Parts: sequence; C-alpha cells; structure tokens
Amino acid sequence: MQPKTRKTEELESTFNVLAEQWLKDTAFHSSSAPIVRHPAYQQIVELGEAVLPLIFRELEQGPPMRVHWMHALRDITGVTPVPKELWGKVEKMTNIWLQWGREQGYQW
Amino acid sequence: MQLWSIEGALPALAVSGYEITSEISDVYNCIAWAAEDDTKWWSYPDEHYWPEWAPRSPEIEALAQVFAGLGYAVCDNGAREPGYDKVALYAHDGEWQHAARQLDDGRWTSKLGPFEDITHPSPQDLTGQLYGSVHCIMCRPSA
Repeated sequence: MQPKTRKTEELESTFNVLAEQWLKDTAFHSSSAPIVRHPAYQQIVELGEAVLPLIFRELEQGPPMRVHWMHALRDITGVTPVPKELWGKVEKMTNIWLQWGREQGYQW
Repeated sequence: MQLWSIEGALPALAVSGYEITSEISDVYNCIAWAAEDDTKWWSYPDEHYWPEWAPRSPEIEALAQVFAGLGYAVCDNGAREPGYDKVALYAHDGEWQHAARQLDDGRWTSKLGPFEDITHPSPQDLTGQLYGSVHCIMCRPSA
C-alpha cells in the first residue's frame, strides 16, 4: 500500500464526513429517489473518480449499506456491469462491482 | 451517537410499540418484503429488480401498478378481513417511500430499508417525515 499524501488524506476526510451525513439521513430508505437526491450524496458524486477506491472499500466491508454504495458507483462511473438477470441480487451485484473495480485497476 | 436508530427515524413506533423480527439484511427491501420476496432489492433504477409489468419510476402510481400486477386492488381500509391479504403503500410528494404487509393476526410487517423486519400494530405507525403518509391500502383474496 502506498503512503497517503496530504491531498489523499483531505479527500478521505471530506468523503467520510459526507458519507456519514448521507447514510445517517437516508439509511432507512428503500426508494432510490431520496437516497440520490440528498445533498451529501450529490457532493460525493461530484468528487468523481478519485473517491471510487473509497467507495469500493466501503462496499467490500459488507452489509448493511451496499445498495447505497452501488448507487454512487453507477452515478460516478456511468456504467452498469451487472447483467440484467442478476438485477436486485445484492450479493452477486456486490461481487460483480468489486470485480469490475479490480479489472479497472482500482486499489483500495 | 448511534448513527442508525429505528425510533429516531420513526418516532411514532416508540408510542405504538413494535417488535424486531429479523436480523439486519440488505439483500431485500420493504417493497420486496411486502411482495413476500426476501431474495431481491426491488426499486426502479437500473441494476435493481422491478417487475416488467410496471414502469420504472419513483412515482407512487408505479408502485401501485407493481402490486396490481400481483393481484391487489385498492380497498377501503387496513382492518383485518379473513380471506384477504393487504398491503399499505406510503408516499411523500407523489413518490413512493415504503410498503408494509398485513399479517394473519392483523398486525403489520415492514422491512426498514437495509435493516431489520419489524411488526407494528397499524400502517399509521410508520407515517411521518421518513416515509410520508399512507397513500392507499390494497388487498387481494388470499391464496
């Protein structure tokens, strides 16, 4: 693992603050609309590709917020790597996204 | 501070009472649970399960079509009627937020997002800032 730079630490700190606020306010939602409309979520998405390793790390930690994190992966990357026959299967979706991240060269 | 508190998010439950009836699971959500499916996350965006007979939309009418496709029709109230299954659909500003399903004993069961299932006395116990209000009750003859 490479040592963290100050810029990386600042990004991670910003991400953690936004993520805590977002998850605290939207944790009990099932509908995607209030989850992706939250201002902190919008700011996470605006941080862009740089936060993908942080999101993959959160996703890999497992339940209960995996569906939340996969919203962010889709909105930042613009891709949907999960084949349609597996849509809604959260375990399989998680594994496919983590595999996709590794194949793209992200490290977390 | 606890990040996720059921009674913090749904304060009416502290008054009505409720019982946690499952472990935490993010594999299925409230819509799936109301439809008696504990294997998938039902929502309208890509990569989520959504029945093909309903439009992929956050509008409450789309959720009503989901349950219409499962044999439900809008009915008058949430009182227990032997021989009928009932679900309650919740909405806020025209968008669906939650669904609950009536149990045989007249109580209701709800899955709280990616957390636990609970039983609660009535659909009204979950109304408020988080899930909005009960948009409609739907029922169908029991199988």
